[in-house]
Amino acid sequence: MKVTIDSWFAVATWNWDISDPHCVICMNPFEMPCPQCKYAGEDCAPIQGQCGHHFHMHCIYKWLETHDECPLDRVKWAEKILEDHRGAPVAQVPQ
Amino acid sequence: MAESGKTEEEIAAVVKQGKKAPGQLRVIRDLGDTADFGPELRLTQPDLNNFMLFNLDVDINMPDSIWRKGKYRFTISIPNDYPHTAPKVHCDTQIYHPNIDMQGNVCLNILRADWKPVLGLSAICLGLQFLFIEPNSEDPLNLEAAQLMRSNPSQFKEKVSKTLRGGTYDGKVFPKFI
Repeated sequence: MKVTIDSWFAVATWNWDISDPHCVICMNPFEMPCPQCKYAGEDCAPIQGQCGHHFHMHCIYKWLETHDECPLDRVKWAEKILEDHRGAPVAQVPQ
Repeated sequence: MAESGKTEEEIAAVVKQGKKAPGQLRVIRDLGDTADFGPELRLTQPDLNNFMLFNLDVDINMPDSIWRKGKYRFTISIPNDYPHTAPKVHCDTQIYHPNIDMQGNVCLNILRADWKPVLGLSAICLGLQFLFIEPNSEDPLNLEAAQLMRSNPSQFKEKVSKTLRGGTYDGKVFPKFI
């Protein structure tokens, strides 16, 4: 018997490669978007401070409108630029 | 990290319905953290049509609290842009306390300058309970009570336990607890 594949669907799951499971501002896991967004992914990405804490970029930017420190440790907020394996910056978030 | 009150599937379903405001979703998650409160802290929703309104009943039974035996009700109303804005809290039970004035306004640092969006409902409830263990005369709302607490702690204690027995003080009616 000979089988011919007419079509196939690839299925994959993904998750962010970060240690914090939730954004502690909105309490959604990072695999879900912030409450303002409909879809998770690059458009609603987590960003990391130099202090090591992650938040949805939309959640932390809203806080940074009125403050300048990490809401968890009160260290002055500075965004950590992620680098790929060659050391080039990736996923730059527009300021 | 504490378990959420609802499973991810349930919350995802709520998100899909698109009916809940962002602040409401956060409140749903917060309620999971309040599930392990003891019987001395009871959080209820008095209005079925207002998901963002809560009553907190605090029974004071800590042995070293000078308000011991008192039962106090707070109203917590949560703004729509929660957690970016702190909830508003009012004490509905007449009380003589340096951080709560005669009109029921409450002074608690995390509700004002120290509010952060990483705090939640359970932090507020525990913060309010803490006011009965460690009243803070440095950050007063009832100036007269704060002054007396600083200058004459034993007279202050006496006055608190008088008000716990009920009756009218400074033109306000206090409920009887002891």
